[in-house]
Amino acid sequence: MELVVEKMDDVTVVILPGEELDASNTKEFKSDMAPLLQAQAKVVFDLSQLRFVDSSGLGSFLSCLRQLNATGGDLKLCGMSQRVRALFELVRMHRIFDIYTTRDEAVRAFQPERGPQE
Amino acid sequence: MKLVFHPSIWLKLAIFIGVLALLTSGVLIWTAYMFARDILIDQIHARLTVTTSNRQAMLLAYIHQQHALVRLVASPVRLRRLLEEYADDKIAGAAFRAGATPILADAQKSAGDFLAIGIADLTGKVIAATEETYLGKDVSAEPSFVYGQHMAYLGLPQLTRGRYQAFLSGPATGPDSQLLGVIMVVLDLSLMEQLLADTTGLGQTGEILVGTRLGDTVRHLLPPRNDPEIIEVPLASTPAMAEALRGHKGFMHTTDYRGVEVLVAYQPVRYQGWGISAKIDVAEAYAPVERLRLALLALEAAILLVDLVALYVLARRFTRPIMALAKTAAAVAAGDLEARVTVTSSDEIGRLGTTFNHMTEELAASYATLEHKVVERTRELVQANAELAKEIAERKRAEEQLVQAHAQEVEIGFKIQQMLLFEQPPRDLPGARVAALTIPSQTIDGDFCDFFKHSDRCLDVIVGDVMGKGIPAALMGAATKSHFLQALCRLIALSPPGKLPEPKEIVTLAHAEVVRQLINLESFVTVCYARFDLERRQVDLVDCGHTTTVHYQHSTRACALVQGENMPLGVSEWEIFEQITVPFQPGDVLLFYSDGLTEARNGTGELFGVERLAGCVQTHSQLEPEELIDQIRLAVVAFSNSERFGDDLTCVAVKLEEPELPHAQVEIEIASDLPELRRARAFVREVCQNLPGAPLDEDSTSQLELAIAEATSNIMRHAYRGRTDQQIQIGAEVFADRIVFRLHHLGESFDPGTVEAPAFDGSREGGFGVYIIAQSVDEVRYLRDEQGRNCIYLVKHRHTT
Repeated sequence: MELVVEKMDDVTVVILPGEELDASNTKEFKSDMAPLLQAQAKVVFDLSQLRFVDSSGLGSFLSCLRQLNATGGDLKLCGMSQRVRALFELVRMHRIFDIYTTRDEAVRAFQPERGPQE
Repeated sequence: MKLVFHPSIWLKLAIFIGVLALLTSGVLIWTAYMFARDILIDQIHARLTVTTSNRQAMLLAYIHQQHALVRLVASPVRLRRLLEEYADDKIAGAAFRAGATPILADAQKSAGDFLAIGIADLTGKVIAATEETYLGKDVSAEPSFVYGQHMAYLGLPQLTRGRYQAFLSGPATGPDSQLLGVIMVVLDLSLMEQLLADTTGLGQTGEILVGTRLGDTVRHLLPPRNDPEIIEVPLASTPAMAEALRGHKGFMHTTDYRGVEVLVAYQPVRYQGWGISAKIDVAEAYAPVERLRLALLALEAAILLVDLVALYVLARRFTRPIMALAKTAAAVAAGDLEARVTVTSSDEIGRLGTTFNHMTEELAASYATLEHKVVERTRELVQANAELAKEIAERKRAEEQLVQAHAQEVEIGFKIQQMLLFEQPPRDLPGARVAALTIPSQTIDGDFCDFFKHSDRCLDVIVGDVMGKGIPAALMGAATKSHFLQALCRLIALSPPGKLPEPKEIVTLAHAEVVRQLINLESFVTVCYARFDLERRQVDLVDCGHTTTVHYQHSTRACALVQGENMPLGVSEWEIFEQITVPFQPGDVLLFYSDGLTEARNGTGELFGVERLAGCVQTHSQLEPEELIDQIRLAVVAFSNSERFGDDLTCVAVKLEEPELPHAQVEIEIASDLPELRRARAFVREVCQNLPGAPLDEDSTSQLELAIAEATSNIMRHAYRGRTDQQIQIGAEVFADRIVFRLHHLGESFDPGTVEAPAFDGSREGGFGVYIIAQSVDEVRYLRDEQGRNCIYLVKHRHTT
């Protein structure tokens, strides 16, 4: 899986490639993410290309979140399609994750002290 | 606490001797006392009598003396001449007085006890006296004057100035004995007092009384010594004096004027009717005898005491060796067979001791023998006991093993039943709904049933019952069942494609396989083999001695009983099985069962019976077959009033319906490899978008896609444990109101009940799959399909807008 990673200030934005994140590829995704999670504290997943996520994909997001939280970092999600959002809501994960509509919103959420007026 | 009294020998002897001594000395003392008393009374009698007569004599002598003295006073001639002259009035009173007074004074001087002397004339007037005070006094009323005119007379004593005095009188007569006057003397009674006061020999209470009778009273002449105030007493209160006054003489034991008991002697004085008595108080009279009695009692007590002491000493001497013997006997009784008595004398007790010692020796000898025997016998008993205990333990173990074996048999039978004898009926047969029920009994019998689904339009139902019970019957049932399956397989292999072997052929072949065994085992199997042809709406039935099949006919709303004529399997090797064909219509119900159902009994022994069963089917024919069977079960339970049955209870209901055919039916097969998930999802999407009529809405499609992806990946990862070389069949059927997906696999079956609830707080990464599936479709079932595959059955309703 070729992850596209962009750096915006100190925030790392990962754009998930491919249309699906399910049992067939979560293992690969998790291993690809592992070094990045160790190096970075502020991570945003851009899910705008993702068409389908199953419980395994959901589990891998949870895994990433917990790894980042454990080292003082945080994970924010953005660009979620209606279908993916429906799954998150089905299992109440929209309460666990910080979910933003756009990538900028997610990145800005990491700099709360500057405020929206700037 | 109860006090137990053990009288010892010496106490018994003491009581005996004591009573004897008491009796003896008591009699002696009593005799002596009575004797002494009699003597004493005689003495007192004599003394009192003597005293009485003595005093009487002395008193009488005293009185006579006074009489003589008074006569002497009247005797001088000069006095009589003076009296004659005075009576003839020759001299005056004064002259008389002058002449008479010196004469009287002389007389007074010569008689010492005369206090005064006077002369009364015949009218009772004192005409001369030694004391001036008496002169001129009229004494005519005095008894002394009255009686003194005729004789000397002593009047009753009177107390005057502290002294007892009495008038003493006597007549003064002339030469021709004519009465000239009366001499009146005042007599001092001191002498008489002294006479009566002398109680010598009568003790402290001795008393001499002189009394005279005045009407009903007794007048004591002189005051009694013991109570000087009592001068007059009633006659009745002093019986002795009363007797004396009556002129009797005697002695008596009576009470006196004081009411005190006295001994008294009495007699008349023989003067003026007076009586005299001498008496003494009984208390004093008997005092010596009382003293004697006390002395004797003291003596008796002393004798008794000495007796008892002597007796104690003696008894001790006798009982000590007996006590020693008893002590030794106790020691022997306690087991000391070496104990011996020391023999110190040669008398009876000594001989007893010697005999006892001898006996103890004998006892010791025989005890030793006995002990030996007991030891021997005990050893034998212990041995016998040990053998018995061993035997009991063995028996117990055998029983336990038996119980265990029985429990095991029941369990094995139950397992056989569940694993080998029963099949779950197919649930997804369009046009027929099948339900089966089995209630195993404690004793397993060989009920069995099986279902072969040849296609959606054709189903074989086999219900059988092996004669007999227990594991052999269960195994026989399992064997018979597998022979049917084998026969079916072999015949299908031989049949041209698309053509199924007839039930009678299958039964015949299966029978050929089992008949020898059944005959050898002397068992048989009743079977009903029914083939439902849903296309032609008929059931082909081979009934081999099985229970009557109940056929509820929707058109008539009544039950018909269907029964073939074949013998059960294993009865005849040459049996030719006949097949009957029964047509049916949608709404009909066919019920197959084992005889455990119809032969359930109620309290009075009545059978449930096929009519009752048919009635039950008829009543509940509108229900789904599962519910119908449950109603039948409840009816049997209510009838027999028990949840447990003597026989297995097997029941299969087939309800025929108007078949609902799917509008579309598609199936793909994928490998159990995770990348294949994409194909599965694509298949779902394709089915949903190409539905006859309108395509499924996007949300429902996404939910189905998610559910099937989750289910498929579960099968790959868990049922197949990650093996990638297995197949998964995904079938889809589209109906007017729903879409049905079936995921068939041969991996491990899955029980959704064992899955943990998902963690919505994000604390666990997995565990969402089953939940997601259940939330994404309208119905989900995990079941085994007619081919024995595991199947996940998912239904999504179509919302026609």
